[in-house]
Amino acid sequence: MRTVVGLVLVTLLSIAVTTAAAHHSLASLFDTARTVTVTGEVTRFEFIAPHGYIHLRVVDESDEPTVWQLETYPPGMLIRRGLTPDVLRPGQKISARGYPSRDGRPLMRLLTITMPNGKDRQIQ
Amino acid sequence: MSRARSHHQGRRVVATLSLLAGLGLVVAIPPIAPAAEPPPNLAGVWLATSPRNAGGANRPEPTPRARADLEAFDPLDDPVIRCVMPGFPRSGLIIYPFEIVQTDEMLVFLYEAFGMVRRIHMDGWEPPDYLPPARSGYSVGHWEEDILLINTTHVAPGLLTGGGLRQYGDVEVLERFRLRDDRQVLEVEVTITAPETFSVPWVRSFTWELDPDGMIYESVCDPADSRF
Repeated sequence: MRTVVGLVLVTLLSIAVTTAAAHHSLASLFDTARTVTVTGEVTRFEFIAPHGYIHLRVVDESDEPTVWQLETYPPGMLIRRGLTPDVLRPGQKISARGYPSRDGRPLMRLLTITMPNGKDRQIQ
Repeated sequence: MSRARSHHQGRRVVATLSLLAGLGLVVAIPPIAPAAEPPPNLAGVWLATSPRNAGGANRPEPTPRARADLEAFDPLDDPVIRCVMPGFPRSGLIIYPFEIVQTDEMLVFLYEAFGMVRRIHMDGWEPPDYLPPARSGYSVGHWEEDILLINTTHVAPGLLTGGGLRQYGDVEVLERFRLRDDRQVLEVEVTITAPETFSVPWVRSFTWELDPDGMIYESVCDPADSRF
C-alpha cells in the first residue's frame, strides 16, 4: 500500500500581491500569478541561506515519484516563524502551496505549509 | 567645631568676599547649563512591518539608459544568485531584520541579509580625498532634534531593485529615521538620488517594529546551493 499519496493541484487563482521577499527577483523566477499545491513526504530540509529548501517526495496517480523542492526563507526568518529542523523532519507528511518555478522544474516558492497535524502555517 | 567658631568663620568668609568684590576680583560664575538631551535610543533588533515593495509606486520614470538596461536585464545575471551582497540601498530596504548598535560617535547597522554592516559616522567624520566605492557606501549622520539624518555616498554601481533597475555609481541616499509609538516603531523616509537612473529622486517609506528579545542570525550563502 502506498504510504504517500501525491497530489498536485495547479490552481489558476490569482494571488494578491504579498509581502514576498526573496533575495532574487521573485516574480522573474517564479510564476506569481498562480499557485501549486503538492502533498508528500519530507525527505530533506536544507536550513541554509539565502534560501532554505524543503525536499518533498510526491507520488502521482501513476505511482511515479517526483522530488519537489520548496524554496523558502533563510534560517533566521524561519526560526521566527517556528519552522525549524526539529519541527519539520524527514518522514513527515505535509502539503505545501506556493508559486511554481517559471522553468517548469518541480520547484516552488513556498507560501503555506500544512503540517502533519493538519494545521496550516503561513510562511510567506 | 564649636557653633561660636563656625559662626565666626562664616563672618570672615563674607567679609573676604565683600573685600574681593570691592576690588572687582570676584568673577561671576555662569549658571550651570542644563545637560543636553540625549538623542533617541535606536538600539535594538528591528523587524520589518512594511512590504518589500513599499514606495514602489513612487518610482520615477527611468532615464533612457536605465530603461534600456532594465528591459535587457536577465534575472539569472543578478549577482545575488552568486551570493554577492546586493549592497545599499537595495539590501537595507528588503524585509529582513537588522540591529542597531548605538554610541555617540557611531551607529552600526547589522543586517541579517548577507551580513551587511553599515557604519554611520556621527562624529563629524569627513571622507578622505579618495574612497574606493563600496557596496554599502559610506555614511555620515547627525541628529536634528529627534530625527536621525543619514547621508550615504560612494556606493559602488549595482542594482537598485531585483527587477533590474540599475544605479551607475552616482547614487546618494538620504535617510530620515524617527522613533514613534513609545519607541516600538521605527520609521524611515528614504530619498534615493541617482541622476543617471532618474531625473528626480525616488522617495520611499518603511517601518520596523522593535523585537525586544530578538537577535540577528548568521546568514552565510554558498553559491553552490543556488537553484538558479
